[in-house]
Amino acid sequence: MEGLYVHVPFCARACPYCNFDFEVGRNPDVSGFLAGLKREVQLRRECELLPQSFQTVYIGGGTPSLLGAAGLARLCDWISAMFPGSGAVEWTVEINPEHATPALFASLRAHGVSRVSLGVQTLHPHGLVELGRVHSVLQARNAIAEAAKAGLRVSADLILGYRGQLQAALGDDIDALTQSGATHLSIYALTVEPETPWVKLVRRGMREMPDEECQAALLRHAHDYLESQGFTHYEVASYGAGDHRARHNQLYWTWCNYTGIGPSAHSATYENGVVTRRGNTRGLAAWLREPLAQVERLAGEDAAREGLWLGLRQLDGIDVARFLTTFAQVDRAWLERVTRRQVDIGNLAWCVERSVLKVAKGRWLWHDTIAEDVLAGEVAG
Amino acid sequence: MLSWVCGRCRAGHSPSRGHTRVPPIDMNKPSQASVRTPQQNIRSFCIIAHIDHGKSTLADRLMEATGLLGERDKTAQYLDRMDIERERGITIKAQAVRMRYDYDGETYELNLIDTPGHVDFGYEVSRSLSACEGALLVVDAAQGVEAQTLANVYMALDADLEIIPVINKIDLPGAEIDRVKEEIEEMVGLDASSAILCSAKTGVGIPDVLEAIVALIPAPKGNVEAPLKALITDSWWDAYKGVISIIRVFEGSIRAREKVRFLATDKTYEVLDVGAYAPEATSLPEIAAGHVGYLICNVKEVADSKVGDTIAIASDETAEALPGFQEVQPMVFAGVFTSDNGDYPVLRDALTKLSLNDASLTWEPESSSALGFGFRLGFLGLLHMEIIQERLEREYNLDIITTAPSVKYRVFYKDGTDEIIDNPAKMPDPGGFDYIEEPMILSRIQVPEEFLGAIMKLCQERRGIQTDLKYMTSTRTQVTYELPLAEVVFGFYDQLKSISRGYASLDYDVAEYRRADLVRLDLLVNGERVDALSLITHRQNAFNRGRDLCVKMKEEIPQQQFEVAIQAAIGSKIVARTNVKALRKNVLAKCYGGDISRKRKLIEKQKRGKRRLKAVGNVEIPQGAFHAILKID
Repeated sequence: MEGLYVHVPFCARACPYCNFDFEVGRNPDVSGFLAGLKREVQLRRECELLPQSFQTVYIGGGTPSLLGAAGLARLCDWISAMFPGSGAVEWTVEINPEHATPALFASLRAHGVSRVSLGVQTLHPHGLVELGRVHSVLQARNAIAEAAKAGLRVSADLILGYRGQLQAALGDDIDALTQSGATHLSIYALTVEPETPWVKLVRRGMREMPDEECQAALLRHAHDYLESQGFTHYEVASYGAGDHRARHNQLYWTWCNYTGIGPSAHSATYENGVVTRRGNTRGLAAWLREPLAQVERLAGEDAAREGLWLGLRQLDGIDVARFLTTFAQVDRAWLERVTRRQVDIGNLAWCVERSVLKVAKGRWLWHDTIAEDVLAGEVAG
Repeated sequence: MLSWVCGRCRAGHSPSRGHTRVPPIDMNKPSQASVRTPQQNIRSFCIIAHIDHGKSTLADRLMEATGLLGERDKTAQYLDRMDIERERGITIKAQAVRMRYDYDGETYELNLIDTPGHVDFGYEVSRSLSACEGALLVVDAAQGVEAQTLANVYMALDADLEIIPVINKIDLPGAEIDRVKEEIEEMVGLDASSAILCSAKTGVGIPDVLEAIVALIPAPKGNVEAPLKALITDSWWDAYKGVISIIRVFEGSIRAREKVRFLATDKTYEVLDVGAYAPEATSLPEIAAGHVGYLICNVKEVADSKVGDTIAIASDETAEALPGFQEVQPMVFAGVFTSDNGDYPVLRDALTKLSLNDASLTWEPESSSALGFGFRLGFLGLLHMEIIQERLEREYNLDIITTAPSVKYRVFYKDGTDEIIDNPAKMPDPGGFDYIEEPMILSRIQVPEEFLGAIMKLCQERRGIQTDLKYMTSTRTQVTYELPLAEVVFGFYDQLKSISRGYASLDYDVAEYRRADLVRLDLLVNGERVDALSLITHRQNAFNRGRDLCVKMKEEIPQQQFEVAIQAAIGSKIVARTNVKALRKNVLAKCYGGDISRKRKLIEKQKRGKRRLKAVGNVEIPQGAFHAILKID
């Protein structure tokens, strides 16, 4: 399976904690952007093998919904024209609640979109202010309901751990989202990136750096509540009801190829245990001039280590047989050696007669500790 | 460029013209070392100077002026052959060079015997001095007389050496020649009215120095016909020739193929080669009484050619040793471990090689539950320890962890037996012994009056007992303290320097063992003792030390998935405690748009910050924690 990611680099305003690649402005130049995408695809078709079609499509940003119903329709049509038949398994678009309308969802549905990811972030007015979001609580709830009504699968993002968030209200928030029709939640702790406005705001006393302990409690609480409500915690930051999984995102963790187009988008190809990662130029103007920036190739143990780390993001764990086929440069003894310490301290567990290696129950909160160990290539002690 | 200044008229005319007595350099002359010089034309001397007062530069100038060094050799200070010595501007290994100097129609043989310039090497200095008849006392025209210089001057006076005061760096803007002369008279008790003024940097006064050496330093005496008696002043190991020793022959003579006996080790060797450095090694038919040179005779280890030992002819069974020999005893001990346990064999090989060349370095295997297998090393002092650490890291590319330095304690048990313990981890629990004695030193600290109060406070905190205080000059004082050596090895010297803004200087003699109320302070991590962090302290200081140690460890130990209790304990009694809170989560937000590389690099960066953790129980302690213990006072 292969996926296509399209990065839409426009935002109406900057969120204080975010450092993704975006341009601020209310009237994005859709034609110019599409021309840029076209040029990139042409360039890449000359120098690398791009698939004719992708099973999954993900339009993210930035704020894709800033393109409006018409703009998104043009983008979707362009994708379908360039890569006919794409998005058959899943076609997701990120939508900000303030842009959600029944007409937008109907249009998306008509242009092949099957799933929306809504940037809800929180259902508390002060939280929305704290996070610099412009939509209202009501808009967020309506957006989910309208999207579901239009026949789209709905995922909602939640950010935990901003100042003043109450653990007691978290269950109600989750109920509100699921009752509105969300069948998938992406939950992550507020992470303040360096060189974002948040850092400056903290200095002025207008924000606080997130408290690790409080965030941990919230993450744990959300986890317990969602599991009690029948959601499956299938990836470190993702919960799905029933069989709802973010199929495109899963490609990242399961050693599948994906192609990213647009500013700062990333691509990966796996071939004979060698991973090639391409990163596009950051910044709309720079990307328009020269879209392709860097290529990184990982081989041998390095590729296997990275594959191990990524695979472990899936909480079902790694199918060892498939891992050893994908990364034939290493063997089972290698896998046991590089994971021994984490197994010993109880962060990783072998199961199903040692055919599956996964993060032990409750230990996903220390996923980066595990990652540091398996990526570093040296065993402590 | 060396600028010549005439020694008589102090004008800058060329040495080959005018009335100078310094001969021009003639590169066509035969090797200078091969010329046999009568005893009355020999002058053997050393240079006494504080670090940075210009000893090595002066030595280079003397060698240039006598034609031993060309322009080409000038980049390096010739006597300091090892990189570390050059970088630190200090001399570790003594050497000796032979210079030829023509004066008043006579040809003189000048032997410059270099001496190590640090407080740790006092014994070696005393042996080098006893091979000389005179010494140049070099004092920086701006800095004045320092304690270390003084200690060596006293040693030189004890050895009956003729001392020639030389005031160096007179070209410096801060030079205060009159004040320094006054200091030399007041502090050293020498007549400084005729002190030679020079600048080794510019070359001013160098001919005067040479003239004074010939005119003032007595020629050696010694019966060439008597049975051989030679003193070893230094030994080092050479990969091609084995052990090379610098010797001063006092009586008789020594030549190749003779059988000789080293009296202290009572071992007999056949002499393979004798000669002199001029400045490269040059073989000679013999070294006769009064001369200085090198000796090579198939000695395998430096430890068999001890500094201060006497060499006699093997058949001379009644030969008596020259006075002053001592077995060199290490004073300071520390465990040395490799951060990667796989490097243990490399460390062992490195120590084997280093001790070939350094008889004062001792080592034996040690194992630590926290740090694995390593060695317990014995050093002459702290500088010696630093040098060895640096050489292990630099020359052998080892990443090492050194535990806190310790001294040798004498532990007396209730059953009347006693034991020497140099490793705090091996010290018995309180109640497990009768009493402990620790080594004392008698330290002399020279310091400008304005810092005296702070220095006295420091010494008191370090359990010092003041025995003397005197004014060397109107602004410079010398205070004498009895201090436990253990207190001095723990950052004392650094504090002394920082309190006095670098103006204090320290010199010490080892004194007796003295009973003290000492306890072993342990550091426990989640209830497990970290043996490599145990230290011995006076009971009065145990609480403060324990608290400081806990605080320091809290800074060093990263959060783990569980709470880590850090405790300091004396025996089973906890004297301080703190804890490192558990890391409640360590997980990044999701990856947007599949940017895996960036996230991977972030994680790898996090990991680099925590590299080389040592596991104690289930707690991971970074290497830095073992160094941090050195930073508590």
